[in-house]
Amino acid sequence: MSKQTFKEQKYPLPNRLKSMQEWFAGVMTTPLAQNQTIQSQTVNGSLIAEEAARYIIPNPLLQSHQRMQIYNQQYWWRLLKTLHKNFPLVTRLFGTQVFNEKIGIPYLLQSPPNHWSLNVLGERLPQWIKEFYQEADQSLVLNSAHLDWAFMVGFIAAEHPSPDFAQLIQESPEGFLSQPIYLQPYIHLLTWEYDLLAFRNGLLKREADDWLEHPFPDLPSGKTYFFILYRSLNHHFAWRKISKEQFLLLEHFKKGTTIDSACQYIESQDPCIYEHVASHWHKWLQDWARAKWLTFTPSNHI
Amino acid sequence: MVKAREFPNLGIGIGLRPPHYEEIFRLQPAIDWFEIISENFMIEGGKPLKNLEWILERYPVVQHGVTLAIGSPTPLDFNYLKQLKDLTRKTKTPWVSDHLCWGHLSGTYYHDLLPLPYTKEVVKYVAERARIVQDYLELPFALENLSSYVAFKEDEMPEWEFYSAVVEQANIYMMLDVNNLYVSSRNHHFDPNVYYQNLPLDRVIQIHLAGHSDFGDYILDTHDHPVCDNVWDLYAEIYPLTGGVSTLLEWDDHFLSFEQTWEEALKAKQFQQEIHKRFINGIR
Repeated sequence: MSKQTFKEQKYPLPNRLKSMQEWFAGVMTTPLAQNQTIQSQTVNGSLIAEEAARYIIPNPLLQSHQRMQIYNQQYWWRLLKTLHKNFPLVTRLFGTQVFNEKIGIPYLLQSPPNHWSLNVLGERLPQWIKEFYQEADQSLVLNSAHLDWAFMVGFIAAEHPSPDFAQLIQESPEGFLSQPIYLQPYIHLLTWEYDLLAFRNGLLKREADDWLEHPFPDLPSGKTYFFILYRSLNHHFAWRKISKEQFLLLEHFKKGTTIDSACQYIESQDPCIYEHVASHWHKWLQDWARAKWLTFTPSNHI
Repeated sequence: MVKAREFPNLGIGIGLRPPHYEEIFRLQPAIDWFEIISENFMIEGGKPLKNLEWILERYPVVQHGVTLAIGSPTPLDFNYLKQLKDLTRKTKTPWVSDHLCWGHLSGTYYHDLLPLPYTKEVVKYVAERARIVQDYLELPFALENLSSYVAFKEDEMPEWEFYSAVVEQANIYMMLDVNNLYVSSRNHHFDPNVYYQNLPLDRVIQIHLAGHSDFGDYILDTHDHPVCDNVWDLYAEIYPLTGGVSTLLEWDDHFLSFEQTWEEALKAKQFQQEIHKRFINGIR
């Protein structure tokens, strides 16, 4: 049977079903009241109890809108819990309740889930923070969101074949030099004026709301920090500090580059950087190839 | 249709969940089979897929989905189905299941198992889509009854009639969740015995068991408690009527250790043995 045949349906969508589902979704996605119960009105101003009575049968214990409240609560609690899980650092910066009020609920109202996978629920959160969270600590919150999201993506991103570079050099040195090389999609390169990874590690030692009663750990600063997030050979997600020179070179590979172009790029840098890279990069390339960070396959995630 | 009795009875399984990985890898327990949530492994790479490979080398695995949302008002998502089918090739699952529910509108996913109105036109709409899914996947496809918290004014039939009609018109199978049956019976005040007595039980290819939370005014399917006695009693009645099908314990929150979870699942074996003894002794 062809795929086209699969798409043809004899029985169309019943109109009454569609209108009920649209009503249901409208109520279910209305933010909960402060006390975590169903609101009296939807965002469109219609009275939920009145409308619910038209669609939902009450039972001896619950009125129609109280039965809808169960779905309303589950929708918000499930999605917010997912954001807490996927953005543990951002959640800890605020505590869960303030996170929900300032970040989670406004984000989900503007960017409701648009994919079957909950893994991508927070995909647009860093961009949302950039555009809509305008408080004094925006920069820290945004960097934290980028970091949390890097962990999320890195955990489930693809792993492309990593060729045996030593063998390729032996077989065809010239071909190897002109072959574009990329970083694996799970690799993230991050740099800040503070050690956000140490800070994150410290914060993750306690539950999110414990920090409401304890001072945050120190956020080491005073220099520029460069990090790589990667997967180890036994597939654990890990991170380490790297030098500025390693960062620059890896960033170049992240975009995709040949060894020839990478050489030219390094030559165009500050002489100190050039010298440092020139004396180390043979070993670095060997290490990165052994760690399977390098691939000939372009990445979808830049 | 291949009768449910002709499907392999895999025995007692539990849902594969990350908090148990360490114990499973270390102990390599003699568990009959695992059920996976398909969507957790419909990803591009990483540790979850490596863990799955390890499991697949040692245990039978059955796939259970949570986001097909067969009754949604949107066209079937063949990109999703293609990924699902690709995973079935990897897992060699003997069947695939998902829920008799809806869950998205155009462009928006609600990540919940939402109830459908029980009408004849919805039966036709859903049954046709379920048949398409089964044909596309080229595997037996089963729908699971929901725990539900609302009933619609436009309902034309009880849930068991709706469930049976969808499955029979689609010529697919039932994944009968005994806990969901019990939860819905309490929330909607119907007799759970009437429910299963009116199902085509020869279409049941798998049973789910789980715990729930009682909030007084309603009970919620939370998968975070032991299976309650009422659900075990229902299981003891239903299991022999199915001819003996694969049974799975779901546990999704407030996790116990793997060994404790496995002990809870093994209670099903005790029930099965008692049923077998009763059968042999001619009591039934």
